[in-house]
Amino acid sequence: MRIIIAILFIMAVMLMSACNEPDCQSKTTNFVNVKFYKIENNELDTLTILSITAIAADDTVFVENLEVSSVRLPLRPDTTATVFAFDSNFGRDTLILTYRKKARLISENCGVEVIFSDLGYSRNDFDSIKVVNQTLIEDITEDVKIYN
Amino acid sequence: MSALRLSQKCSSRQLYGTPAFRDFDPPFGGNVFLKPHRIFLQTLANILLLFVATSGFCQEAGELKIPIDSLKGKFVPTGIRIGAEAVNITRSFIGEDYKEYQFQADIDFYRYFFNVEYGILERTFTSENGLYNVEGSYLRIGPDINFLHRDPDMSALFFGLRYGMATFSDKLNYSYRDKAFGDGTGQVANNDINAKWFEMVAGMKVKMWRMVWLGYTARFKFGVDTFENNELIPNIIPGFGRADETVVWGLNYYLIIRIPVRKEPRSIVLPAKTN
Repeated sequence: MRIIIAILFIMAVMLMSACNEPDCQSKTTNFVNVKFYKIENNELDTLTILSITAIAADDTVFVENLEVSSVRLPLRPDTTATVFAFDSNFGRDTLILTYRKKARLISENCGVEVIFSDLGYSRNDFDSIKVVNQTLIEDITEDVKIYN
Repeated sequence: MSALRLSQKCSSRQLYGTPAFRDFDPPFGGNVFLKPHRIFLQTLANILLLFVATSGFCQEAGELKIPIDSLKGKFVPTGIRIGAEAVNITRSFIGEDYKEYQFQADIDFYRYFFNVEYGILERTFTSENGLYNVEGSYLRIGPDINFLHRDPDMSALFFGLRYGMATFSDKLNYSYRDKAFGDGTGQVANNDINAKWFEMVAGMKVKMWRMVWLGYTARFKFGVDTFENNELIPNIIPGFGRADETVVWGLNYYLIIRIPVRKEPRSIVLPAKTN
């Protein structure tokens, strides 16, 4: 009898926990957070950026005439690589970021989310570059370190 | 030790109310299972189903029919149960974007069952920015142990294990909005991918009328690969459920036909005691 009661109890727990809806709050993003560092002491650097342009069919300018130590750049959602041209007080530099796109339907109510993962680079003209986060999520504030 | 049990059917009230039942003394010190059982399966989750099944023991006036419980031939199957999942079939008829048909069969070896479950699923999800379609089939196999194996009706209260396998394809058409590069669309798909998982199950199967049975199975599913590295991360794995979870609960209700493959054990008839 104890076994029967135990099984009925397990089944009741199963029934109670059978339904739970997916979480609609997708935290994925296609924005990359880039921070600039001094190569000699590894401290944050402030750049005078004349422009940052994404090379595409229509070149898109994101930043103009700013003194910043970090920038937030969008990745192209239609391909798996985005080319950025930096024009700063250090000269002209090109950065090609590569990535994978993954998609999933969260639910009929929540819709589709696209995940940008496996972030890397195929070319850069900076002194040094390091990818510190490979999957882009809103909460993460630093994805790429650039050293000048 | 051999055991004797009562088997001839009638209502429990009829049984308990008779002098023969009250005064019956088990011969040879053996076990006599006089426990009439009332099993109910009741309606759940908008649809049906837990039901009342009453079976019991009885005797014709003045006698008791008792099957002989012998080790000989115990593991020879007595019947095959073939069932169809009732909720899925109902939903398949009601909804246009959902088709699922699931069948199960089991065969008994004394207090153990061997189960085979097969199903097919085709389902479409429509959201504001996407259209997702999945279709595939699944197979689950595994044993059960029956805690009501002495029941004269062969009813079952069981616990068991399953190994599940699914082969399925899915695709997602979606649209996105992007302020920097402009809006666009995308399409991703998986073709004939395989999923495997394990289940712990518990449930009941109850005789309702002649060959007609009803039953339910609660499932704790685990150990699946959720395909997080695929270009399309599936929403549903046929037979498993939501693919964004590595642990999933499930519940199935079955309408079952039981086909006997051998006669019931031999029985003896005892005269009732009279004072």
